[in-house]
Amino acid sequence: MRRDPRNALGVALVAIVVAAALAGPALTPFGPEQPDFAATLSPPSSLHPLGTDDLGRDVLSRILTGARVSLLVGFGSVAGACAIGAPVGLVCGAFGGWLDRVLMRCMDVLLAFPGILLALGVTAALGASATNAALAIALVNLPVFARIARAQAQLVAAMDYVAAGRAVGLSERAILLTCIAPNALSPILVQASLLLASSIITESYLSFLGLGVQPPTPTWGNMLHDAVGFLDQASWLAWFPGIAIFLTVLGFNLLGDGLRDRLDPRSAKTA
Amino acid sequence: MTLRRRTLLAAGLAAPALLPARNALAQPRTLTLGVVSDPVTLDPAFSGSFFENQVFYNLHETLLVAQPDGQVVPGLASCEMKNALTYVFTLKPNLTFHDGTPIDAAAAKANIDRYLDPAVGSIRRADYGPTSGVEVTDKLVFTIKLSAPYAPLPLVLTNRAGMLVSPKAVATMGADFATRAVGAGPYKLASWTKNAELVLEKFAGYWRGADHGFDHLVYRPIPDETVRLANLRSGTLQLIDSVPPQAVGQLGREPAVKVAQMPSLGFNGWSLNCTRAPFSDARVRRAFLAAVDPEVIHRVVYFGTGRVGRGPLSPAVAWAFDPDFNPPGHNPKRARQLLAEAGAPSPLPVTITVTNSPQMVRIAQIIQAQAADAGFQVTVKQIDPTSLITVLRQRDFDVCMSPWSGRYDPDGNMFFYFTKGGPNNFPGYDSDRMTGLLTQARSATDRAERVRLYHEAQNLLAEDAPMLFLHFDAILQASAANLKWTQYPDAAWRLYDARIG
Repeated sequence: MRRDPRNALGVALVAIVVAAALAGPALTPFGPEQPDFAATLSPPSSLHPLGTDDLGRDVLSRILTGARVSLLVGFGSVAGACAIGAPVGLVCGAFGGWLDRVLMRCMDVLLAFPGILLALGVTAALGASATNAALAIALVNLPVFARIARAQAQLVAAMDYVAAGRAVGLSERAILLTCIAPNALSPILVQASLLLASSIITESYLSFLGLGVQPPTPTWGNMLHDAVGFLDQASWLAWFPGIAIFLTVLGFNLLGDGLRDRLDPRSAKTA
Repeated sequence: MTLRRRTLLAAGLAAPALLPARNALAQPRTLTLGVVSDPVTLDPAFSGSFFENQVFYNLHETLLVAQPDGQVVPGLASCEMKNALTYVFTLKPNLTFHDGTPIDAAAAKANIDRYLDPAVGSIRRADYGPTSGVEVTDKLVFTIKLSAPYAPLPLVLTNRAGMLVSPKAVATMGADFATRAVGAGPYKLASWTKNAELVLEKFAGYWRGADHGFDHLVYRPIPDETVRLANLRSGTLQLIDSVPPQAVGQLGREPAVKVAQMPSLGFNGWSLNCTRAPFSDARVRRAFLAAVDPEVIHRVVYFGTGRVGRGPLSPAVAWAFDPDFNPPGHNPKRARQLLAEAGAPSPLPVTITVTNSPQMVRIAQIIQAQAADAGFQVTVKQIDPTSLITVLRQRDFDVCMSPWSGRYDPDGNMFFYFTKGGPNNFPGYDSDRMTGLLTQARSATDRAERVRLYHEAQNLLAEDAPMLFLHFDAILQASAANLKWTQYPDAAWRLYDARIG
């Protein structure tokens, strides 16, 4: 298979973000929440490579710590949504019947709400915190996983090898776990990597609106929120978190495209 | 030659038609204004939003008028104090509301009765204090009677409680009055598209005359300060409210715009919940006040605009301001001592509740950092702006922002906030001595005596510490450089005499 440079770029960007999230604050001498009221709004310099914010905090430290929050909320929400949505979809798709109709109508109700509106509603009702933001994003993603898993399970359930499994006397549970689930997994994984990107953006929205992680803990979204009032005086406050979000989302999208090309036989044929 | 003559002739014919057009260019007839939020109602009896004043003082007219320096002069009426319990008002003759209803003593009484009637439920009712009733004594003369002396009354009547609306319109419109209000101000309502545009048009029957600077005022609600500024710079707006302090320096260097600033009547205060631990203990409250340095907030958040404020009496009300007031200042060591005396755990967990306004979140984070040095562990909790009043009234907070736009009379900055059971007593501060001082101060008719009582009350506040006072904000507004208008310390625009030129 020919190696696509876009995939390599995706992997590299994601690797950098993950490394930043892991090593993050240890890379700079300043605490991400440590204000210096004598050095507010300092432009980028050798001491503060990305400048300081309105309270004199080092922007680089905050971006690195923000990567951790973004990834945690992104991975947490996608893992949660996948852990519930995918089994629901698989069961519905494999067995059909009244359970399928009831659960899928519930998923349709969730799908009927615009994602960001649903997330806003949930965080407004539960209160602003990182956990609630992750919960809200998971709820938005839940029906997406359920729908994809159900469609894939229906497709796989009609395959000859599933009929063969039944013919040799495998139980329905065994068919689901050994025949259907493993063969329905690829599109779910691809979707997970793509939803990671959109979850990071949703987390930024929520934090931007004050409904995500609470200050002084930095997230890219609340850093953008803080920057809004200083676009004239200190544009770097908006540029750097904006670039961080852009590159991370780009990385996960490229990674998702690459996974799809590799795992989905249909796109491999057309590529 | 023929051509030249024709051209000249055409030019000569066109000239008179062009002249008015040129004048119109020199003096635009529409003033477009950028405000922070759309009004909730246009009915002054139910106005609770500070931002509604921007519309109200142009749509409605008050019985008495406050000058920028707080001096009270006649408005729709002149006022004579017969004795401490009786105020006689004489209305100007031959005036009407926007709908042609005459402004007479009966209309004034109908208005004041409406403000006072508990069945109507006006939120301005409390402004009338001990008013016991209104009597019509002549076609244009009426008397307000009080059950106890109430010195702030004339200044109260320069605010929303003194605005008269057409009783006929109130009766015929019913609930629609809130969106179609009929007043007696220099402008009448032309149209209102919620959250998009509110248009007022010149009212030719205005009592000061029909010499309005503009035919139309167009209000555009733009919550985002950056967008308001951008629209001012582009010329889409000619006057904007609430300029962010950090932009003041830069705007001062731009020739097309000018910034107007003056001390505001209000204060930036933060209620400490006295009704539950940990702030039920006055030592813990005093420790929290000692932990915070308002100078840093003045410099970092306000960029040097306005001034540090440690009490509720604003320098904008010069006669009541106490320049010698000097409560204990920033002292983290003292804060730790007080916490130890109170037996508080170390660090002491405290939550600060704040709306998601960038400025307020910034202040909360500075308090958080400073209070950490003094032994507090502060969590910042952001809430939706519409939830703020509920959180404050239910006292569901440890520390909560409670900024006040201020009043011309010090009674308006203190009585409702710090008397027992006062509607704005968000801290739940329970002091008989304070209630006595403030009740006495609003009843006293001698100004020197009132000043003494307010200063004593302010010192008592510093001692009991139910509120963290940080700042007297400056009113910061900006306009096109060629717009002439008058700024007021209550931040409300009175645009009858605004002019280009």
